[in-house]
Amino acid sequence: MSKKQTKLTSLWNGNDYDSDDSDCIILDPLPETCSTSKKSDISVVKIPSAKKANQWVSSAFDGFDDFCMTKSTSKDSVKHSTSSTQREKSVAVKRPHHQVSNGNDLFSTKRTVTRRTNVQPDTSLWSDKYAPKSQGDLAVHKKKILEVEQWIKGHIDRKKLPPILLLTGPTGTGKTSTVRVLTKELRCQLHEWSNPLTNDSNDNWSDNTDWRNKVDSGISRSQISQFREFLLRANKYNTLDIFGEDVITRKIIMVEDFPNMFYKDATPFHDVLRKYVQVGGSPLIFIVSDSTYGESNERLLFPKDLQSQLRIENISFNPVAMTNMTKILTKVASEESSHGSHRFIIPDKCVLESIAMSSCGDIRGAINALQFACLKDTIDLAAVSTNKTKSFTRKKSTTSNKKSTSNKKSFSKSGSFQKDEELMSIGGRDTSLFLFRALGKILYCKRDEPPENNIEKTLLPKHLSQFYRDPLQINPEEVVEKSHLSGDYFGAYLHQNYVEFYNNIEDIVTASEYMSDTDNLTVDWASRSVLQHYVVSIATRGVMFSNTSRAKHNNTSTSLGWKPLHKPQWYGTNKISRQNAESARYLFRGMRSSPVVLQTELIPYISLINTTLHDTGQISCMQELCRFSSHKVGRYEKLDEKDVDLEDDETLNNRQHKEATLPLDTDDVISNSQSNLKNSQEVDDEDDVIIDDYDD
Amino acid sequence: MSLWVDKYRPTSLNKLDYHKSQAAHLKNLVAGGDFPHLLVYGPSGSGKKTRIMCILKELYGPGVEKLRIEQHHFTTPSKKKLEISTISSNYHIEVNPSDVGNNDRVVIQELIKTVAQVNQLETSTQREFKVVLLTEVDRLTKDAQHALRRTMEKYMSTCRLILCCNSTSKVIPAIKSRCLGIRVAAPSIDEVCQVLQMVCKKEGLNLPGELARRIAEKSNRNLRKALLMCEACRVQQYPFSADQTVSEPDWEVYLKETAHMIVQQQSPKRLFEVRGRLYELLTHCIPADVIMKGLLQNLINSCDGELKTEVIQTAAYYEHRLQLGQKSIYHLEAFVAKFMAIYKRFLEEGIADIF
Repeated sequence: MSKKQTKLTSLWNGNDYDSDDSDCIILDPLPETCSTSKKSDISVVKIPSAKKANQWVSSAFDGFDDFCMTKSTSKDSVKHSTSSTQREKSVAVKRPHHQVSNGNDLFSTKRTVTRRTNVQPDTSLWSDKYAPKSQGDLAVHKKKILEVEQWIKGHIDRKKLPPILLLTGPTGTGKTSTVRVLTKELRCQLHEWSNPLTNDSNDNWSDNTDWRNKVDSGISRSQISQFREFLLRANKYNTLDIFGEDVITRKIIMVEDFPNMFYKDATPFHDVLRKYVQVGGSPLIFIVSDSTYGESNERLLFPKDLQSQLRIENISFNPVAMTNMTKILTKVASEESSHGSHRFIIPDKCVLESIAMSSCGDIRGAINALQFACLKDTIDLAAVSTNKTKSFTRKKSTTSNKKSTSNKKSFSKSGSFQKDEELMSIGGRDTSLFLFRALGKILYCKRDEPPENNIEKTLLPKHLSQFYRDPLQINPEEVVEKSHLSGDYFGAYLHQNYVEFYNNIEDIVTASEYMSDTDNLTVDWASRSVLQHYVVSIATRGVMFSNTSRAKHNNTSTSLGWKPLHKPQWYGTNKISRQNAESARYLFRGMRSSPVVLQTELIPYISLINTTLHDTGQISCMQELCRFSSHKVGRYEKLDEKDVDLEDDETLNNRQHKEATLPLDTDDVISNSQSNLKNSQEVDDEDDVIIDDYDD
Repeated sequence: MSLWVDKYRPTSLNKLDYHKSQAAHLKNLVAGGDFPHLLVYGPSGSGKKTRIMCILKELYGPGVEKLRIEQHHFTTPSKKKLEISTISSNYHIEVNPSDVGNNDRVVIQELIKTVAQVNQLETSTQREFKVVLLTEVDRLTKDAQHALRRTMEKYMSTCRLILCCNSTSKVIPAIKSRCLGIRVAAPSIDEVCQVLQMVCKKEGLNLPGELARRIAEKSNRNLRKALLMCEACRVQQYPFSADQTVSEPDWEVYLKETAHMIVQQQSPKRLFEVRGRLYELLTHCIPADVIMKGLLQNLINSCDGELKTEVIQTAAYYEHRLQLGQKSIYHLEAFVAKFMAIYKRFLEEGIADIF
């Protein structure tokens, strides 16, 4: 098998996985001279071959002068070819079940048959084995599937605007599977990018002298350029008519695996995207998993301005609903036990439920956990957890019988904290929450029905009975911990939002008193870091406790409905006022008065007196300080569902200190603050986003 | 065109308009040759700064009026760069150390050291000490105040300090005992009227006595404010009429509206709106304690006698926390919420009494 040919076939990446079989060598016009069989003499042959390749490539891809390989050296291109063979191999190894993606039935059956014979069925992952094959198999909510389907249908045939779709959601919520299933059902071709492995190590051993050179310049560079080429060429050429079937011309490109370099610096990626929008034609789907901490890949790779600029649509998936999850787990378990390699007892329902619960909506993780639980060696482990969970589920079932209204919520309700320990034994996940959800959990403050057998114990004396609350569903400290925010910051978020969740002013009085306490506790900087944990506990529990309208589990009458959450104004306000004070002091330093006098007396009166000021900076500063917007009350930013707040206190303080040093160009600062002001005022009330409760 | 406040500021101890006996005492003090550290205190707008400048002029002659603005750079032990602007003449230097926030200690020590290490050039014709004028001493951190105490003793031979503050309650006793305290009381209403009349006369305007009185009352015996108000009235309408409105700064109007909103309705929704307005005030650099005070003054007017103690107690409670804490909005909002609850209860009881 010649390297040259492999390389060329790799241009049709995704079609010809069988490049190691000889039946797909179809590229006749190739010059025979450039074929090499031994690795040792690569260095001799590769130079002419690469040159020819260049010519061949550039003549065929006239439109892409920037993107063809004129820049790459001959070594690169050879390496490139080897790595692309490697890539295809890796694809074939890594994702065997994905071969069906081009809708070529004959082909795919052939593949699967070969795999069956090769691989021991016992070692394959069930999550791969039972990957969804039709829409019905998907665990994703029907509306989401419909959304994606409509998008694909809407864009598949339109040629003019190359559409880009961005799918986001937690891991294991079926983003990729949805796309695969849909493309298959819509009879589209799915081209998928997967990162090439790094250079073939054999290649490097052969010539030690060039080793460093290759590592330095070769890999990262070539990965990006390969990605670029893939994107820009993948939609240009049709599948060759190899198997005598009708060629499917409708194509979808999917990128799930981003070249690593893009995480360091996303600008080349953005350039590629812009270029794609100019020249490309097929719908392009990106899949990015959410992360709740650190830098979000979504924000890094797809910043908001780029999304709007390129009109990237964003569909975000929710965690898989508990009912769907159990259904699928049951199906997988029963199928496996009847057809699988070894017999086992299907785990009973509560084990499946607990697996589903502990996976937190990650279907892949759940199936993996199930497989683990059903292995020969660990089957007793499941039994142990069954015993533990049984007591709980029994309790739960008795309660759920009684409450007719909230019956279907029983799954989610049992996700409470006392269970987590037990679930860890069969592969529970250490989860983290988005800030939005974490706040929601505190503010909506859902409560459980108290277990009635010990109701006498929990009863308070008569005169204190107004302080009785039903047990909480969540542990507030745990929620805060999962949100990865410092206590101070979480408190600020709570403070910004709690008022809207209250119905009467008396409750707010107690809640605001708690908030005031929290600030009072962190007065001393020496003990602040220690007290933060207590402070956030007071804040969360205070807010939850004070809300008497949500003291009972069954107050459906006072349903709050969906409320948008906002980012705290405090930090922004603080910053602006600091800036204003700074510039006022600097500009009016000739007045020789203390800042308070300046800001509350002098400047306001100067504006009333109409003194002619000669400094434009002074004038704008005065306007800034004296203009009150009476009609627009709030200037707040909305908190997005998936916003991750990175701004910790320390960084914020540092920044403020930086700003506190006297600005040299004060005019600039003022205009900045003014533009800030305008921006924030422009944030108008967006239409409400509807969040489906993921507990179905 | 400079403001009347600056234009008609008296420049020597002889020309001061009120507290004349005190001025005579100060004159004697300066004439006596040696001179202790001074701590000048009194409410805002009572003429502390004016008196200090008069003293300086008495000490050094007209040379102190040649002022220049300078930028000084300091580096904290933690390698942080500080920058502070000072106003100085050949004989004195004026600085507001609270401009640099928590690092005021460094500024005080370094600045006084540099000033005090250089002796007066002509000791024969001039005093042998320079003067460092520190404003807003009550806003200094405790740390800085202790540093100040040490420096005061150390450089006594070459440098005198004049400290200026509104209230001595936040000045540590050690400093108080090392200084000669000079209290500058706010001028009485009559004195304010007198000054206003005098200024208007010099401007060639005819100020009706009634208007002068109203301005004086509205200014809360703050002479600076009174003069600014008077000038604003002049811009608004001339010739003056006795019943013309005395305009207020925008933020006060805004605060008044806010207080009105609180009294109008007591609900979570309203509280949220009020919070927005509080933020708005804070962005316009109105200090939180001023907001609290203003709110209380406006709210108390619409309160019944029996409520007043409770409301004021609440306000005091939260004002104290506000002074200690960092997030002033928490405390402001807690106060507003509490007032709403008190007021609502009061209204409900009132309705219950009727039936």
